[in-house]
Amino acid sequence: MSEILYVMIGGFFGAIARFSLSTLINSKTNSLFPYGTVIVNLLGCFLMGVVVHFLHWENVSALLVVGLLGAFTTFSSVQLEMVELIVKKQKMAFIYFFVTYIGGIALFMLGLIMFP
Amino acid sequence: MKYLYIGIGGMIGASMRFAITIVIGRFWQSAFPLDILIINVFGAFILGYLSSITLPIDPNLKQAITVGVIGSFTTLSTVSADTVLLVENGFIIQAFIYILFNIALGLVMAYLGVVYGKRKEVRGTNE
Repeated sequence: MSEILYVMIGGFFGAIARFSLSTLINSKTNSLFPYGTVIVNLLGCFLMGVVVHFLHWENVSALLVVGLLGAFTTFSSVQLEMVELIVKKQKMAFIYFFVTYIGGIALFMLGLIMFP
Repeated sequence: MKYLYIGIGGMIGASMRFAITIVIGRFWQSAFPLDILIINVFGAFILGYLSSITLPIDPNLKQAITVGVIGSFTTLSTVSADTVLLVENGFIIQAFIYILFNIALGLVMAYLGVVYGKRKEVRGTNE
């Protein structure tokens, strides 16, 4: 039962951190390209790798993995922003797609192997 | 205040995701992460829908639902982690299917959500 409490605490701070950081990034960039979502997701994937490296796959942490990083990164915004770019016939939809998915996996692996 | 709203939304979204993974885990014993796939695709549809309708609620509350609840309900870091875990365990084909289904079904459902929302919106203004 305490697990769900950890998930809730992590989710609370993960969502606020995502909103603050992506709002900050989007205010600094003036582009159709959703830099805010990209950077938040890549950072979250990297941190996920670091957490998994130190905690190992078996001890998936309710607070950090499911709550904090699960909520910090987001999938629904990526898909919606991609749809919007495709509808506007923007080629950057492909860049967005590659950076998010290939970059996300690459940065997760980097986080996983970076520390001894 | 806005931050508190989004935080509470995140709390709800993350615990909904957690609860669904537990329920699906009861009858789905395979290594394939069906739970996160269903959560993500469903969340993409809901976000598409909510983004294309005007809700008669406080904008802060709408943001708490879209950015907070749905944003935290769906997750990308788990997709990356699950994909690498599948490959590490030798489930290469499952890893490909998993990420392709997330992307393709997520796109289709987000689009359908937008279309569905817009249709409802038009119908609503005609009434």
